[in-house]
Amino acid sequence: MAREKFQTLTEQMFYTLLCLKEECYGMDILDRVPQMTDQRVRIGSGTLYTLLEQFLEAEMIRETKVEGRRRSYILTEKGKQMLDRECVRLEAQLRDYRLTFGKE
Amino acid sequence: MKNTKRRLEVFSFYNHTGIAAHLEKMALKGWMIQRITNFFWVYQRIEPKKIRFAVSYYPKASEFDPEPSEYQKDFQEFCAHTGWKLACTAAQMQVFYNEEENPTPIETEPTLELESIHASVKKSFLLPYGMLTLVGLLQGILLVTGLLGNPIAVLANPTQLFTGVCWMSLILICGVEMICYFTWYHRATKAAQQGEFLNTPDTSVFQRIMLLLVLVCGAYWLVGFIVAGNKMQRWIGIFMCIYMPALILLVNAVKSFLKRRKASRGVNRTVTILTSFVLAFAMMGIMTGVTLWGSSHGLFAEDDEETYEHGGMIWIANHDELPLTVEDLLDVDYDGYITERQGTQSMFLGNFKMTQYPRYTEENFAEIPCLQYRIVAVKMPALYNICKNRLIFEKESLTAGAPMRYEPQDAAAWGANEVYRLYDPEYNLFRDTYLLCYDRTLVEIQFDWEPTPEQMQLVGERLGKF
Repeated sequence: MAREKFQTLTEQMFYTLLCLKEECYGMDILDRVPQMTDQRVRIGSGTLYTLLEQFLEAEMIRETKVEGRRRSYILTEKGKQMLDRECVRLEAQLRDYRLTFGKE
Repeated sequence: MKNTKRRLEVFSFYNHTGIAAHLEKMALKGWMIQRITNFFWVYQRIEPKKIRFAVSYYPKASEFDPEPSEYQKDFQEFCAHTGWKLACTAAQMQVFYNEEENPTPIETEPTLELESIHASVKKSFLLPYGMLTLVGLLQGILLVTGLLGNPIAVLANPTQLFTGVCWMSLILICGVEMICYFTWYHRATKAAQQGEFLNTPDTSVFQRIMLLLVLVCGAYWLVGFIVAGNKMQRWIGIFMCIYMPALILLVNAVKSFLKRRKASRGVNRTVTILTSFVLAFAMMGIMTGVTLWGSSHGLFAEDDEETYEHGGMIWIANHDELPLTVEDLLDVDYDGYITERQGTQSMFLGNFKMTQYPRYTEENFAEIPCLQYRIVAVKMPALYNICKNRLIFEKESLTAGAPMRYEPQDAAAWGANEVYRLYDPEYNLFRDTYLLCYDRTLVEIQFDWEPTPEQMQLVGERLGKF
């Protein structure tokens, strides 16, 4: 179920996983994503909470430590593969665009 | 000046955009939501200001939880990080507010929001609404069966009509709510696939109208049954008025008590459900017991009513006023008659049974003439033939013993449009039971003697325009 759900990643899923390349508190992702994207992408707190739960369940991330209410996570190999696959998909899209409009 | 306000709000469980917009309006008027109970929403006075509200759903929460789970607290802390403070919770619903000018919404991914709403709705909305629809349908079937089986009794009974309206309203509310939800869910799923959010539909006007309808019917029933009813009807009516609110209050008190005692979700749910069943049956049992005991001990006798004992029981010697008595028709040398008038009436029909008979203690009981008649006052002309056919059917097919039939008689003698007399083929004789059909009144009358033309005329004058 979860594997099928993440066949493609939305921008918010993509950047959440990207943030977790290095160990990071879940809550910090809320600030990091807008910084990374120049405020273009913002993740809602409820959305991030649900995403982290679902990524954990799909073993795309793992919990590294718990400090009070703060939990930190890191990307797993499976999560990295998902990101790679999404990158390949996006690159293919970009390539197709350039071929169509003759831009190199 | 009051600092708290209680309001009865009628929002669908899933109508998060409607609820948020309403709470924003209330904040602008200076009222901040404080808590949501099963009966009212409680607001606290604040300085009127523009506040953003958001309703989020946490499917793993339950209304039986003693306090928010650790995960729920985590969720709330995530929200607090982006300026969303918790205002209150109700089962899976969490109401947040944010005083920033342009905050990041709590939900930014429509697919995930829809998943949370749907999971919560399945738990707190679809299951109870589905069960209520099922119970409502069963009650509806019972009402329709009763209506087909005995239309006079049902249509003349305000209690049955009122409960019928309540159940029908319930089916309608549940049906409309579920249709609206599934329509919205289907459209919202398509919109979410395009990355778009879809506002939830607002059915609060419809729900208010249905609530008003039930209240108006309830007031009508209250007047018809309690105010104009006899002592027993008043007792039953008042008990029924107390029964449901008391049951809800007691069950809620048990749930709140267990929450305060930090009982686990499972324990609270089991005890609360068991309590509701036990209390519902116990209270109904008490009412039935008191009614049976009271009626056999003269408890429901009116203050001016006379009682007498016979066969170890207390009997009420009623002296109700009747439109036609034995004394009007015959010269009788007996003044100890009991006269009884029973029946109900609604906006459709009146159904009354009038009887006049001697006390059971009379030695020559069998020799004293009795009179018994039933009057069906038809207030809605379309029901006239249904009632007439029903009265014929009751006598011809539902009377114990060999089947009898109504034979047409001369109606002019009774001043009626149609008259039928009961014929007993087994003994090849006519009984002294007649069905008299007037313009808007049907009279089924049973004599202890064969009436004379003068008596027939008097019956027509007294009962024909009842």
